[in-house]
Amino acid sequence: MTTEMGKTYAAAQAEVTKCASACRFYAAHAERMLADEPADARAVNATRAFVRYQPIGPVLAVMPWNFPLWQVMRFAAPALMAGNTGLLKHASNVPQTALYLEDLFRRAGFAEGAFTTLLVGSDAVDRILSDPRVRAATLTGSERAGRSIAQIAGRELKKTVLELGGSDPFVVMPSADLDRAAEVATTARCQNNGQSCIAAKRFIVHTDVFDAFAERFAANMAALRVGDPMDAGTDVGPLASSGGRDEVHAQVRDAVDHGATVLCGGEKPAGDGWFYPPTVVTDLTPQMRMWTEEVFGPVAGLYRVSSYAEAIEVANGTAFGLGSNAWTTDPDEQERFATDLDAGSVFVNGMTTSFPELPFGGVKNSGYGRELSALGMREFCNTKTVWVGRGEASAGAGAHAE
Amino acid sequence: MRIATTNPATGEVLKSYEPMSTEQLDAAIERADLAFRDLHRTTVAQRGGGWAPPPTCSTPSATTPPG
Repeated sequence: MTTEMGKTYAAAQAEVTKCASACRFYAAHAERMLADEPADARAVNATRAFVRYQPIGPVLAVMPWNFPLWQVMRFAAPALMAGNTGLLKHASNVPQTALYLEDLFRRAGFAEGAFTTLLVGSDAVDRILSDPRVRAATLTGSERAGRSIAQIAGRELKKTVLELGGSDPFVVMPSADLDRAAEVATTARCQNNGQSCIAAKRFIVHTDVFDAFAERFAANMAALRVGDPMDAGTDVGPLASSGGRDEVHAQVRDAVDHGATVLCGGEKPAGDGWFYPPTVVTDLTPQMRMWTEEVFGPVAGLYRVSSYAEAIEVANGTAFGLGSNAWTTDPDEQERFATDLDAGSVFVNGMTTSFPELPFGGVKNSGYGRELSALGMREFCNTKTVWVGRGEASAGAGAHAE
Repeated sequence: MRIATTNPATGEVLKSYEPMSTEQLDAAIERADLAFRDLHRTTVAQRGGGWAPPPTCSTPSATTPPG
């Protein structure tokens, strides 16, 4: 993974461990999650009524390069445990990771065909998803890729789960522990070299603590060590592609050209590799690309707000709704954030992450459907209603309501 | 886009792959379909291998992961 997409070796190790945990979780709990669920037979005039979860068939997984093992395993572990098979179309820059995954499932004892890596370009996706043998698709990737898959799946009437981009807010209120918030904010922004869909990207800070937070945060960001991702002392490795780095830098330049202030970073380094320094940009306005676009690199935008209501307005003010973070020690405020943040998850006094035990996904243009937990497993199941009666007479065709 | 490993720390292309042909792709989908017919007949415990409770069904299956 480090050689293919640049994440630090330590981050790659953590990703492997996370994959193993998810496999263990589903191995331990799948039987309970997939067990028949009894219903109230008397209420539905049956002798027996229950819900049975059954697999639906081969599922196409279109996956990105940023967590090239985890994003596949969080689909494949529950989907195969449920009895489906997987067809992986991985990002074109991680072919060795993709082939490793197929080998891994074979070595784990699954039969040929249970999990297959397809070395194909994006142009093959229409053909695969149109094939009647392929029953559904899951995609983690860009909004554009999501629209493309959804369009094909709509035409073919196939189930999809989409986990798309995010521009997660990280709100800091006056009661927050600022040192801890600034420390966690740094990790939340720069994990995976800043290339995570659930990275905190927009830091929305109450004016009472704005300067104090900005100072601590920029100092932490500037102190991160950028360099060889194989080196144990490196915090931030290179971005995955030359084009990705150019895009991030263009977003920063656009903000600066429109009047933003750079507190640290912001310069594209010379030399080999696609490195970009941790960067903090403030004085943002809605005219700047960074205000609404996802920034896929170690670049944080700071937003000053003067009230809870304004914090919510800015936090919810993009087309995305994946994760969200709020820092406050006020219990009432915590409760309000949990309700008011328009996202698939709300993390209070922490950073958005994923756990096999909890559902994961987004709202709005961040996609639909859920991965992980029992919900993620059931996305690719036929939730079958089974009703067993006594063979009694019906009310007659003229007197029956669906 | 080219299917290749390019080291982002150096920009060096380390390995390239030819995309699968239409025939290879069709065969892969066929194998996934055939494997599904087998896999959905196994028990959840059989699919989980050593971490799940022992299988309740004694039907031998090529898909049983090692314990």
